[in-house]
Amino acid sequence: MAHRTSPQGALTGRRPGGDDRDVRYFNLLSFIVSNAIAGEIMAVENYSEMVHLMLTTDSKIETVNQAKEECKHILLLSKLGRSLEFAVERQIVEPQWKNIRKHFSTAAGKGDLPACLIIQDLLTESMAIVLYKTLSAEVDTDPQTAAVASNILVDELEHLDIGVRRIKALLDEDPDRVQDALVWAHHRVMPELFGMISTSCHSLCDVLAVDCSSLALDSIRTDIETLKIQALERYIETLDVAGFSPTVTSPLIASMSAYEGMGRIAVGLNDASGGACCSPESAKGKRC
Amino acid sequence: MKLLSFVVSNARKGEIMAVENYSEMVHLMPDTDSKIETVNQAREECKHILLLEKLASHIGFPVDETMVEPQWADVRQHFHAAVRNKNLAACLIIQDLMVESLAIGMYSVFSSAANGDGETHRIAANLLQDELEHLDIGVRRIHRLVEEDSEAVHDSLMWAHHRVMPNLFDMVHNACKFLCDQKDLDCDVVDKGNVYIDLELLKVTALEHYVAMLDKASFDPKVVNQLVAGMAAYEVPGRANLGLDRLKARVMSTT
Repeated sequence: MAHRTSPQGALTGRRPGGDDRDVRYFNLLSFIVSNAIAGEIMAVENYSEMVHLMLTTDSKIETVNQAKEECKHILLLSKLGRSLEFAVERQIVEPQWKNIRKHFSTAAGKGDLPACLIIQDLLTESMAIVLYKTLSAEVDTDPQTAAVASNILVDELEHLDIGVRRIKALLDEDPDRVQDALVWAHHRVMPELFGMISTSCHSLCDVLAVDCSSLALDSIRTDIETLKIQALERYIETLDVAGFSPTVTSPLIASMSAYEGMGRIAVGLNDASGGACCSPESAKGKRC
Repeated sequence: MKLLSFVVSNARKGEIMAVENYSEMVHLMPDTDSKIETVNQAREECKHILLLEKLASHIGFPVDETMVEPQWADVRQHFHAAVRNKNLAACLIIQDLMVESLAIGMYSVFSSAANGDGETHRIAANLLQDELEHLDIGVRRIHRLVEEDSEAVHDSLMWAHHRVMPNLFDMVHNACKFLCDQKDLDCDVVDKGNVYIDLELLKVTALEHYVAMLDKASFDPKVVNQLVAGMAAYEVPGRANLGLDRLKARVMSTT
């Protein structure tokens, strides 16, 4: 694969900086980091595509800087893969990222700046924060991964703050337009984002040539349901901080119970089993 | 001082357009490395905006939006249309070759020995280096696209040339008239202290760079000759001659 860095396929042996970790851990990192890189590539494209929609030269420059920081994250994550000797993919594979990107591009094509900001600065950044917070816990990961994730987390928190500031300014100008944009973006994008922390996975494991049945989030001492709850909590907090009306956000949050797996969380039926990634073919006969 | 304000205000507008153009074509780039490279180009153009603003502040003239020529908006619209059509070749030709040629022409004039003002000379030389690098990147990218599908890239060149070059041409050609109309100035050649600005030289330098770049990018001379010859129609009797005869002679001599 032209876009892949580091070794291909399932990994063996122990590595500097993660020497008390087994192959399952590095396969999981390979999957998670490749997905994170895909998210960063999408962010680069999203931020870049909305530069021309920004209203002032200063905000255009600020947005280019955001894109530049996302580029830096791609390089940091790729370097992590090389350093810890696990394979990373440097292109978007999972269809959810492609779908989110398509929705963003639709919004940009319509000149819908509020929808662009909501999709990238609020929804996607919220999810990125949950991911990098999880990876930055050194006790659950390893020193190098934790250091890289902590570094990136600082940028993503800043991007979220920028997004909140921008959305607040737009809400002051035209609340109806911005609330409409939220409703549209929520229904288009949130199912895709949450779809990426469910047990459904399409092709990344196959592309990485790792055995998806070996992937389980207990390698980093968490589970899918915990991640979903954290993502949900972060999302609710973000909407609240951005100043959206509860009359608009409450139905949106309630609608998320229709997502796969979310209903079970809502009624407290956590089952912490399952791999993070399984293609339908690979999943046959295996626990994923 | 007004002439310097005019030139810098338009240069800054060109840099803002470049930021938008480079950013908007990121998603058309075929791989992650070239996306990152393009974001870096946008970032450098941002730096240029800040440098030009700093120059204005340092010397003490305003960046004046009323002095910005309207053709910038047309060029930006043509680029945007190319993006909508997912025509990467046209995007590269417009931004990396055409606009960068104008920028190089302008910063070359400012960083020439004729400019005795240290501050503008230093900043122009700084910007010129980045723009030359962007032009090289553009030429490299165009080369690759020509290797993949020469006919499609030449079609893009013809489209972009007929859309954008009249705008750029009009902009440099009418600079004096625009400025005189707006600010009631005689600006053919103005010596502001040590800052020497020759708008005629700027016109010819920019066009020379454009033709040189078409050559460097390995476009088919048959196509290039037609395009350069067609530019004669831009010149209107009574206006100052832009030196196109010289350019045409140069192109013909290379074929």
